[in-house]
Amino acid sequence: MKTKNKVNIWFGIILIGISFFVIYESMKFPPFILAGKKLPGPNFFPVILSIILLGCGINEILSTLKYMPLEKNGESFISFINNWGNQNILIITLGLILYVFILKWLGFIVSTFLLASIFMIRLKTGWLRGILYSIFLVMIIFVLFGTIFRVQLPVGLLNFGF
Amino acid sequence: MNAVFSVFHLNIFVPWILSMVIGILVGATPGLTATMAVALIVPLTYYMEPLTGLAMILGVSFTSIFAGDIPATFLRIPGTPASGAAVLDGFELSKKGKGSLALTIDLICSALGGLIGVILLIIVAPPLAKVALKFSNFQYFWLGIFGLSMSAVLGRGNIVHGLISAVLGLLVSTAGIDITTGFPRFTFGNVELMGGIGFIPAMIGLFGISEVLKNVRNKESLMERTLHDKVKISLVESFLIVWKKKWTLFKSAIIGTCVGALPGAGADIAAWVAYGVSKKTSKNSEVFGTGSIDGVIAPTSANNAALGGTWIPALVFGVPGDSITAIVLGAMLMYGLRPGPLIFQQSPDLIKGLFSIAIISQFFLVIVGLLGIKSYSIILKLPRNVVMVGVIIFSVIGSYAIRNSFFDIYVMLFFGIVGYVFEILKIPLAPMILGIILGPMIEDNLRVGLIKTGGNYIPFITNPISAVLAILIILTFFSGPIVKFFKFVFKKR
Repeated sequence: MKTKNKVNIWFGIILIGISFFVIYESMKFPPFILAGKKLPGPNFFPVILSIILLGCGINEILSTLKYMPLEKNGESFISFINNWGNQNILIITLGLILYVFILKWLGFIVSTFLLASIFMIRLKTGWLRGILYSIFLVMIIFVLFGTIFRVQLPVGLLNFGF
Repeated sequence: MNAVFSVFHLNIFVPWILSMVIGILVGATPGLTATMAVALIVPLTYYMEPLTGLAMILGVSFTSIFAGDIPATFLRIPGTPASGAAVLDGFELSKKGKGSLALTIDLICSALGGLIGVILLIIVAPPLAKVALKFSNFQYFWLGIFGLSMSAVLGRGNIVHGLISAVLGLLVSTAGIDITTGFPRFTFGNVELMGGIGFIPAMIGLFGISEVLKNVRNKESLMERTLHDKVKISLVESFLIVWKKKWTLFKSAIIGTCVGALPGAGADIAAWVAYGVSKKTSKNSEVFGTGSIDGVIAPTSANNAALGGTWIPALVFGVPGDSITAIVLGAMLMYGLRPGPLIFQQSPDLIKGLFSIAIISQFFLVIVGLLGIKSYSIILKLPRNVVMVGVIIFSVIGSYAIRNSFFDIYVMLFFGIVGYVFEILKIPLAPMILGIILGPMIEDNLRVGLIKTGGNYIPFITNPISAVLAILIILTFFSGPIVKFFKFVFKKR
């Protein structure tokens, strides 16, 4: 039997939600009238896409229900969080969100070194190796992007831009 | 023959080769595109002879398009948008310890594809450009839909999942200022969204970050070496493999050149279309996406061939085929040249020199490309955990570098998570990227076409070129059932 689970049903619901949201937002767009004739405006294309997406969402739910029974022994939230690999995903995601904030304040060199070191140590590279690799990585990126390709890397409030 | 020998003068030859090395460096760096490489080179050519400047531009564009395939194959991060399709089978081969094999084949196909593109440029430039100029909004709309319908056949398995991915990509492309009316759509008051969602951060996130998130879950594999090439192969052996698949290469290079010749459709679209056509017409279509050699040959020969194609309308009519040739046209005007039909009569030596450089560049591409693959594979002998952190940092800075925008880092992260979820749900990522790339082209041509006809849909199918494209789209989706039907009918007889 083809295996499908609750995730597919949730995915279908999200697709339906997105399509309704897009239709709702598109209704706020002004009409496009040229020489007194109403022509396809800014909402024309998004609405067409939303209708297709709505159909796909319904299909996703119906096709999942067709392959019942659903998998019941899904992972609990606690066991999901306690898993080392899942923790890495959360740390990387949150780390990158935080990184953008510190990047503005501390600049590229300091914040990238901190981020790389934390990630490397978390991913079992070892303290000393992690720090050394991070310094090397920051140097490569700085030379490549900052010096050769002249990309304006953020210097931050501390002006660590060299 | 003088034109051929003249390009070996040191004042042309040295900058030309240096620009090819720069092309490898830029192309292999995620976030830096071939267009950016050309844009970086042009200011250096201000005070040079026109032929030297054009040699540098040609050299850098050919090598950077190939170099984008290096991180695409080894790390699943396309170095340039044109390498998006090269990820599919190249990375699968790399996972099986055949990364260097895939890239050596890729290199040969890039050079041969480029060569075919340039030869076609020389032979069929005027007639092909005339056909391209006949394309109106209706044909461009169908061309976009054709490219997108390819995405449905690109994905393995469920077509509805391919459609979901493509439609979501198209929806993403609608964010930003509406070109026709100037009205901001789905921006929610955010100034950064006014210019739309950049497809480069989206692509880096979808392919690069999603791969990182997948990798960091497994403690054991993180300690292993990133690149474990089990198959060592010489250039001659790789050439023999490519020779056996010469028709795939030839067909893809022609598709690449033709797509490249259409203004607005560049090397990235050419690679996707060639991949889709090869998959659809292959007897072993099920192996595409699992590490197929044909899946490497098709996009890599098409994207370099497309470069030759983009020069066709640029040289013959002064209409750029893509962003690279748009910069080239600017540079040519700067050198005092006027692209158009008269350039062939006014500057015949320059044109001959240009064609010679384009052909010889393909041979140098093999040498410079091999050095690029070798250098990259040395770096990738590091453990996977170190490389994964490197990928994260390169993805972040690569996304930031395009517009110096912090917002683009969030875009990359968002699409990284979307890509990871899609991988879990077995939804193909490629149609989403294609949707983001083709979205503006499809929507603009649909709406402008409808405005021209006063809301009448009939002209979209009555034009012969439109009708051919529409039939091709129908065949793309329904060729399987149609073939089965005919087989059934003939069996009965």
